[in-house]
Amino acid sequence: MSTQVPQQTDETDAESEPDAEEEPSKGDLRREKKAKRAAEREREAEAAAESAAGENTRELKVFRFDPEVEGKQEPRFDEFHVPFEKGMTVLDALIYARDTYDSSLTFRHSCRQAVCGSDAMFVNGQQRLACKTQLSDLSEPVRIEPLPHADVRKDLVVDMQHFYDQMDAVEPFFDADELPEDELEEQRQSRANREKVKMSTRCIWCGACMSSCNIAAGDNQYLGPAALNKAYRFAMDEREGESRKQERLEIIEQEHGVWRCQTQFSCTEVCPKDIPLTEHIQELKREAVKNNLKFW
Amino acid sequence: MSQSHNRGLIEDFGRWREFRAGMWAWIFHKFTGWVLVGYLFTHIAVLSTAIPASGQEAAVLQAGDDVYTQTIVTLEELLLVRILEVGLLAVAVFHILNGTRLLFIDLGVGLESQDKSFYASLILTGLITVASVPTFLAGAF
Repeated sequence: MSTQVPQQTDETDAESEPDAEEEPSKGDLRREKKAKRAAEREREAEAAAESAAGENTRELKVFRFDPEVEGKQEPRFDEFHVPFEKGMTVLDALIYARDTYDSSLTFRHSCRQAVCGSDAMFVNGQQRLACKTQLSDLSEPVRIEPLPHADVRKDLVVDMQHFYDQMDAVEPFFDADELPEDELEEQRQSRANREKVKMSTRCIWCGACMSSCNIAAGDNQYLGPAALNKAYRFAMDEREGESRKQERLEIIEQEHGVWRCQTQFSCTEVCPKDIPLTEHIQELKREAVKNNLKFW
Repeated sequence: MSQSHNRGLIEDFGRWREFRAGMWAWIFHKFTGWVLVGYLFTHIAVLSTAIPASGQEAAVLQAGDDVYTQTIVTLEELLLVRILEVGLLAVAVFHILNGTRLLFIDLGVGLESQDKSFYASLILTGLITVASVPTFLAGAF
């Protein structure tokens, strides 16, 4: 449907000029008028029926772009009217629009329950997980765009490679200094320490925080909230040991590390898993200062 | 997939209506900071050009006819300067209050209520500015 170049529909006038008859009789004129009125009434009824049906639909405005299709190289917004059901999420609406109206509508989704982190989108001016956002909470029209500050590949799909690179840069894996004698022995964590890192382990790599951070937008080398949160998760883990923690702190206190954060709280506001990102970054800053100011 | 669409930076500023408290705090802090830097240089320029006053004789200084006093008095006569002074106070007060807020955030205190503390600093700034108006504008009209 919308993969094609938008065609200009010729608006055919319903009231085309009456046939140029020579001096139509009065009766003819009357009949003509009657027909016209009837047509008008019909049109009105149609419009009324349409709006009655429209009461229970939601209007979506979806960003469309595809560099490979000629008519979509210039980004535009497509409108979809989706029948509303109780409990419908933005993702449900998008799936309906794709399955019903336009199979070329492209977006990432997988688990549909806010676990996989594939469907972070810019919905009504905020980064949200489409599967976790209720349509009923949003004002119409629901404007759906791909994540800002990332290159758009197609429709709602953005290039996540840079985000993943930043995540990898903080070495996001458990790597203890000392391993237990027996390879199969558990490496226990104290309850208090688990509580400390608990929130930071909830990250689903959706990239909403990175997209919302306008420091990350201006500085491509900035590790970004998600990566720093990952660094926090492991730097604060007591099981890893002192020397590994030193290495981790060296990574996060580089020029484009933790000090770039200017506490705008954008990431904390948009995080779909409610991770207190700014708090973690601030704690890492303090940790870095304490580490460098060791006079004893 | 060699091509991609870059929406550029302009969209960030186009979305100012959707900015949240923390973002506004950051923008205002930057803005007031630059205003204060600008004021500082103007301040130095004006006062340093009026400095020859120190070379005056004691009698001239006593009478208030020296360059320094003259400069200040002339400036204070201008309504625009009086109004700008109120603005300067507002800018400075906000910068101080929000700066204190940022210090607490750096210490990890009250991160959950960062938006409330921003609104509080805004309201306090407003109150202090309004309260200062009689002092600054006394005799200006």
